[in-house]
Amino acid sequence: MSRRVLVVDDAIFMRTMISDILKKGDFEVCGEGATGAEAVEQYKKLKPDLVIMDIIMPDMGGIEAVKAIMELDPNARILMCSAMGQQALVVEAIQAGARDFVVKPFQPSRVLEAAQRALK
Amino acid sequence: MDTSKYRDLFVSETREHLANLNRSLLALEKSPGDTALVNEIFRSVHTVKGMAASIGQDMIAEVSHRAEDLLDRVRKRQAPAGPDQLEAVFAFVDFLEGAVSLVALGKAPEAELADVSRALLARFEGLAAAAAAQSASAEPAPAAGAEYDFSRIIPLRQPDSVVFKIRILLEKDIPLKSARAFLMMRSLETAGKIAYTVPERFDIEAERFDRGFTIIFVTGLRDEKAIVDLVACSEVEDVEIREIADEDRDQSLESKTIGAFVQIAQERPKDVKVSLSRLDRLMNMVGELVVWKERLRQLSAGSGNPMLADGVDEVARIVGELQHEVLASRLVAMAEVFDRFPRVVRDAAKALGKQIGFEVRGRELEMDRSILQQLAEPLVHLLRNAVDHGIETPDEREAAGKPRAGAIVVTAAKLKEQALVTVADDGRGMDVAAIRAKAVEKGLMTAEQAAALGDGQAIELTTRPGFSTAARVTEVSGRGVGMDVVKSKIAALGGQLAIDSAAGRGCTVTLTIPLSLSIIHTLLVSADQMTYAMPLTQVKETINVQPGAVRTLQGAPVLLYRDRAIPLFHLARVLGRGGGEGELAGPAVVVESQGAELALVIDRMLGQQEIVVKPMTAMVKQSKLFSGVTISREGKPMLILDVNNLAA
Repeated sequence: MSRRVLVVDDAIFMRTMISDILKKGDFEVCGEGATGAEAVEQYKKLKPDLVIMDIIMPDMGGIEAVKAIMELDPNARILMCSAMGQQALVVEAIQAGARDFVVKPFQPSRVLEAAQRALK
Repeated sequence: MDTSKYRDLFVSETREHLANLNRSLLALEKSPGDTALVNEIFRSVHTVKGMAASIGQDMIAEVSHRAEDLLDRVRKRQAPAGPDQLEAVFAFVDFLEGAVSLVALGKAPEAELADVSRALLARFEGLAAAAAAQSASAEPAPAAGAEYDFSRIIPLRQPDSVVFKIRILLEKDIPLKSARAFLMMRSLETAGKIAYTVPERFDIEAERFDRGFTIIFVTGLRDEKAIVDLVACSEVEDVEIREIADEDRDQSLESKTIGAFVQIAQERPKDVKVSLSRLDRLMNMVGELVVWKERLRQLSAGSGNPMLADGVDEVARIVGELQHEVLASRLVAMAEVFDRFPRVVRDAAKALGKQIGFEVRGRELEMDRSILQQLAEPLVHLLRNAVDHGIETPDEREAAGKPRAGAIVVTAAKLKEQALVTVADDGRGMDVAAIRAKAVEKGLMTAEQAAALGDGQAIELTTRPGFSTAARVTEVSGRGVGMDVVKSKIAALGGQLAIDSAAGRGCTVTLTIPLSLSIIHTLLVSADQMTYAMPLTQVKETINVQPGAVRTLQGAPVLLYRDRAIPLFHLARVLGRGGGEGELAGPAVVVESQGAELALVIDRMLGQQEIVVKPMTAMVKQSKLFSGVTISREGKPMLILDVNNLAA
């Protein structure tokens, strides 16, 4: 059975790219979001196996969204997307409960590997 | 494995250990019961062995291994720290020194040191056999010196907890390494406590590590597999887990060999090694900046544009700071060279059956490292001379009413922009009569002339090329190299040498050397439309030669200067250029060359300027008349005169 993933990023380009990568692995993209607030809302509704979420987004950033989701579901599995140079933010996201992170520009194999590990 | 990139690291690291070994061995010789020193020596040898093995230097590794065995027995009190053992380790240190120098040159030490290596191995074997014969009665003492810092582990331990060493290697060139490490540590902390990490956590979080780090983890989990699952995440190349048992407190050093280089790269976040050639290149570029800064200043002053002038001023300020920082980064403490001396004196004294108390002062004085490197050899020579020719044998000293042990003191002090380095002994002093006799014998002067020489002048003779009074050839100071060689080396560094000797009371050699060669004050002069830089340290006086003050002595012009007549030349003629045919008059510079004064007529004085000495091209180097080359404010190359060789 393929695992259900929620993809959250404010750029459609990035969402599309992540979705394409995930579809090549054994994943199903069950929903998408463009802000942290949408991520929390969608999580409640969809109960996905995994969330892949950007750190910096308008209207509730990724870190706050991680905190909110972890509050809803302490076992939530969240994978952060970050750009180079965002080390401090990544550390903050991990402290908030994110399982792992991938760094842009994405290498498909890395995204899939991280997604698989996060679901273990 | 590609070992070439590790070679320099191996060489520099091993040299640090060599300095440490020499220091510790000398201290151990004085207090043979000091276990801390034995441990120190043991650790150095051990580390060298690990490094050598890692880059395929098998011979060094093997000999080091045997030396380590011997030290291990001493450490465990299965063998004494006696003269035999110490001599063997000293011999090992010498071997290592030679081998490392060969490695540094890219040569295989096996080619030249195979015999030495075999002899050393035989020596260690003999000592091992002797220890084995004795060990039946000896009681082993607990050994000290462990790899792990148990003081940070023990407080975290619970009755059923296990301690693991987790070594993590991240993939090459991954971004956000610290966050990755943080993720792994955080995951581990859900199941136990991290006692400490190598490098320290603070350094890991600041990305001061290459791609490997080690975590010492105290946990209730007994299963290594569970721990691997905890740290498993993307971008990790390898995880190595090893349980640390209590026995590791004593003998876990073996595992340290693994990844010795990774640790070296990680454990020194504050200091980095920079090659001298890179510093030289930096210095050259700063030198060019300084010159162009001056050029820009002139251009901006001529332009009448105040905004440009402001900008140039700011650039000038920054260039000044940059110059200061680069110069400072070239400085190293005299200790780097001085710390080898106790060993030199000890060995020489031992070979000659002399007793010597040796003292070093001013090892913290800082000096340009290229100068210091070149100073080492002449200083060693002076020390050997002091031991060999200066200090008498204990019996001779006693007969002369002196303490049986002689004294040699090396000092370094700062005097303006110069280092004053002295080598003083309380030995017999220079034998002035022997020097006079030798001068006559060598045909340098007649017996009458020699007798007329003052003591000071006679002593000066020893610095003439080829002059040496050593009656016998000793192993220590060798043949044919004397004060003359020392003097010329010091002169090449832009320094001076003075000898002060008192019969029966000792001899002091004083060297004055610039602390920094790189930027010098010069007087710019022109001759035949060429501009030359003369180091101000070589200029005695600038004068204006009146035609009436010039005389002719044996067909050559001389100048009446003070109460003397000194040779007078035109600089352009001395340098083999045209011009200066007219009267020898006008501006001139009085310089001292090889102990004699002479005056050089020039076309014009162009003022003083700070210049940066640049490495010379091979062509200029062939001429002894120039010591270097620099770039003028106009951006043209300019030669630096070396008046020391003008007299000839």
